[in-house]
Amino acid sequence: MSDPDETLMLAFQSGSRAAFDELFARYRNPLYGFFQRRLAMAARAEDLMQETFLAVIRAASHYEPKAAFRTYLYAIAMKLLLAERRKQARAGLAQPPDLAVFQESDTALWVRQAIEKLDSYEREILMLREYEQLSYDEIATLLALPLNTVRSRLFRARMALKQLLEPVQDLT
Amino acid sequence: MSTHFIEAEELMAYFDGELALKQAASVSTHVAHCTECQKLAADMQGVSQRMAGWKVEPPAREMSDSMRAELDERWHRSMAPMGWVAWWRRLFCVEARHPQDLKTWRLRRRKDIRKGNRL
Repeated sequence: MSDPDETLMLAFQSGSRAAFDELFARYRNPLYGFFQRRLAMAARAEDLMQETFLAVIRAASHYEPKAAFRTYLYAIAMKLLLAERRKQARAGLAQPPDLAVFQESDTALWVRQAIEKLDSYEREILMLREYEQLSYDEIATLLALPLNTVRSRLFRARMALKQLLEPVQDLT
Repeated sequence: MSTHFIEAEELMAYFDGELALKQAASVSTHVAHCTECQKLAADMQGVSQRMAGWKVEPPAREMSDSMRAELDERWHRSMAPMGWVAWWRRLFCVEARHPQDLKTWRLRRRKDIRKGNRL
């Protein structure tokens, strides 16, 4: 059985490079997906994924396994994402979508466009649940929301998305 | 769902594996006989399946140079004098917590040295 993330992080804290390599291998793709789905800029998503791991390395000596490692990791990623959005807003960048990223299947395009229509909070909760596979509790910790709020918003998001996806579904 | 004793959100939590065992067992028994709940479950499952259709290609790059440099620097720092001080401090703390062991170890070591000298 593989080591839990928290054990690996503590091993890295004590100097194990192999432990970090394992964490990187585990979370490289999920973190990249996290940024890419939210920014739709492949190059920037990759930079931010690397920056998240850099922050993990730099803060390793202060790490305490109070919460799950992935909550800790996504909290860093979320901070970087918000900073990136603020930076883009300040620069007045209505970033043109990276077409390379959007060379996606019709299904992906259809789902992405439907998700974009959701309320921003509900969208974030739904994406954290479906793509990052976080538990309700982890989402609540990450977004500093009560557990019940997470549950009710997640339900609303799912029902709204079902409605948004229905018209196209009828055509197929 | 108004006359339903299981709330839709609770049902969703059940399918997400978020309910406690006892609560999950009661919902499971109910769902087995309730077509309304089965329909809702199918709807939510459908949403999840369609969302899974939005796939992301893996990133092109492996670990960046700056990350490698940071890792190397961290390793060197851990080997720097401060690292050794910390190592000795840790050793001292362990010894201080077990003075009896330390005494035994010292005695054994003295004996070994004497034997070594005789040889």
